[in-house]
Amino acid sequence: MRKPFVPVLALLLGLMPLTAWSQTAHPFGVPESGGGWGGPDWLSSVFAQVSAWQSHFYRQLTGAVRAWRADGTAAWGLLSLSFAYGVFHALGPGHGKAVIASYVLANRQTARNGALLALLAALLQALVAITLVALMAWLLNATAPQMNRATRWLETASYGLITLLGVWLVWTKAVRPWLARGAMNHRGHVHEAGHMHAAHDHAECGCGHVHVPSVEQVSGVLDWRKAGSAIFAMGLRPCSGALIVLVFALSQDFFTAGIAAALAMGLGTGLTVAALAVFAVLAGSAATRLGAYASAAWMARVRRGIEAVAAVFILVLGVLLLGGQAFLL
Amino acid sequence: MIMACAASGVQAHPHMWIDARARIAFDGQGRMTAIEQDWKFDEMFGAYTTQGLEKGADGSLPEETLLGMAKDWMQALGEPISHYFTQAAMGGKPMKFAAPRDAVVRWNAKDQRLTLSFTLPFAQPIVPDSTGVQFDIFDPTYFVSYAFDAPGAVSMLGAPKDCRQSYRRPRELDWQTMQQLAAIPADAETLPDELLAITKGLTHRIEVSCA
Repeated sequence: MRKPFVPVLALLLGLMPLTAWSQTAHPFGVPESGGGWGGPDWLSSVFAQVSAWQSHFYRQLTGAVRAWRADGTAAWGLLSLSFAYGVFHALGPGHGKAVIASYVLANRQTARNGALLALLAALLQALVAITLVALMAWLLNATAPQMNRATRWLETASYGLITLLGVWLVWTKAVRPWLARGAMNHRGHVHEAGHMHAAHDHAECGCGHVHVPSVEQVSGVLDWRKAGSAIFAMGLRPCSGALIVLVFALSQDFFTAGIAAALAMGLGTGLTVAALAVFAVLAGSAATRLGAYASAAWMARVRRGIEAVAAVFILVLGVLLLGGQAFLL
Repeated sequence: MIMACAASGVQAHPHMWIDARARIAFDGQGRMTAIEQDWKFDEMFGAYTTQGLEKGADGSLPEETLLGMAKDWMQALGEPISHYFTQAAMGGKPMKFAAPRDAVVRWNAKDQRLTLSFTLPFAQPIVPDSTGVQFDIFDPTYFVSYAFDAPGAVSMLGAPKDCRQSYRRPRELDWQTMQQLAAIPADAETLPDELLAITKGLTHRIEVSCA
């Protein structure tokens, strides 16, 4: 019955940073992200191609900003370039996708909610970049090192939130169910399919049963309090590409173009991660269906297993990212 | 930061572009003494780096600001892992450089571009043989993309008549090489040799040979 985990685990590991110090400090001080990612060969090869495309679009952004300024109707050039940049940015390695996918799996979200989460996180990311540059560069006339520092703080906050989210998920999805099962076994309680009440929340159930609500019931409506933490965990850290384009637009006295570009990037990234989140949900339910051949009880265990693995994964990722931050400070 | 550079960014895409020029300098006795470089950064980098800095009415930057910038960059570039993104070898043997000098940053307010110029002298003047001296210029993290595309981007200063130069652009980076780069241990002492071996063909290669 362990088999169903394999594709899910492989998916998550593929998105995992190989090293804690993957956030790079480069001799030329610009806020850089990414790099140092592991994964199977085919994935590296995909990432390499994706990187090349991303770079290709990025390089043309300055020309597109100028073109728009010269000709008011040429906005589409910048918007589509930025959108494309966002798409390829999202297809490359990055912890945001891993967190979304894991969160969706751990909380058994529907595809629709997963997509919504991804989109909102990416748009928040764009808004954070716009606000940061508007406040610091435009209003306060901050320098690049000051903005790098602010970005670093946001990054640390974001990684902190991911870690907290991981701790919380591990507690609710792995530790507590395990404790509950221990208590259950102690009393010689036999867990059977007939026992699975639908609408219970694990948190409120002190009776020692492990209840498995049906997918429709747990995830029909997005729990904003929970989802909000995931959105902030990912959206708080602005993308360096967006920051630099915004500052460039500002230097051209055309901040509007920067805002439009950042939003278009966010949309491109958001829609792409949304598609990946849908994929994660489908993979998750496929794994469950495999488990379902055995019995409803097996299915419940497979489900819980996936949730626990996803929860642990978020925690490990958060700790690694935070560790990388501490290393650079 | 050393480890940060070694272990990461290998799959990073270029987010900085440099239009580069290199001059190989000789002394009066026909010995090779230094490589001089100008790195002209792209305008997005220029805008970001000069953001918030006090500028003159014509958009110019004060001399102290530019001096500070040059000092900071040269210091960061001096880390063994970066080593000014420049290596040199003769007969397969890496050549030693002395400390860089004449580091200057210029800011062109009109095209919004910063240029860093510096001279990297050899520890000892070199008498190039017919197998030549090979210079490799590149950023192992692939964050910076160099281009020696301008006419005369590579030249020689005061070279003996029988010396020839050639330039070869890097080949495309494939994923296999990326994996190898990613596997380089974060050991600054041994890195340059290993890098040279793995990155064969991935660098901007300038070769100067004298008959």
